Amino acid sequence: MSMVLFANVGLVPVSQALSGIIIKFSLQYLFIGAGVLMILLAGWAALNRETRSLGSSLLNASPAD
Amino acid sequence: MTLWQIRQQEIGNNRTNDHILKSINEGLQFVLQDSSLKVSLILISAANLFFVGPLYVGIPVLAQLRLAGAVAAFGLIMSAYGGGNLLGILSAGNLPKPKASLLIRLIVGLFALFGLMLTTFAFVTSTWMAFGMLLVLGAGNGYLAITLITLISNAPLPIKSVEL
Repeated sequence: MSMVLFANVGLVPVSQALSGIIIKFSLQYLFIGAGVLMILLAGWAALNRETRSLGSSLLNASPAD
Repeated sequence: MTLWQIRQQEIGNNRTNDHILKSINEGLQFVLQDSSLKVSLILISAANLFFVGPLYVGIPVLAQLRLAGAVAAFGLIMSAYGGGNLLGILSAGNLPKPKASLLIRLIVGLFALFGLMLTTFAFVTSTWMAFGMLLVLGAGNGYLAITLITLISNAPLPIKSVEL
């Protein structure tokens, strides 16, 4: 959990700095680039075997169940 | 650089000499032991990297350059994002927990939706269109944040860590 929060907080300045650099060239490039990368991430997640088993492994492990 | 400068202080009689970077490395090793946690961390980190910058850097510039009433429009559309987050968080807390297969499809689908919407922002010129899109993005973000963090919090410790 701490690593997830660390990754979240730690990547915010990196993401904002990269966005600031890209936006100097073009606002459209920024949104199109980020959007395409998100779609590729979704595609990777859909095709990845570990992702497909992620839900069941985490849900089955949940103490709430 | 700031992490490098952090020194842990003595608490009571317990003093640890572990540097903060060593603790981070140990945390990473811990996550890498479990494939579910590893995939979750990759997904959350990558989505965060691709999403946060364009949202907090790109949207103000978009509002300034393309939307009527630049500053007022920015306030309006960011309030939509905040309201959407609230809706998503309330939904995650109140809706029944989805089954495993549906949950993964939902997460993947929301990531794809985020991607499509970010791409669409490249061509947005209407404040109300941006308002609607950020409301939906916020709702998805709020729902995902609560759902994923709850799942990861409830995940068991990897076997090796339990043995330690």
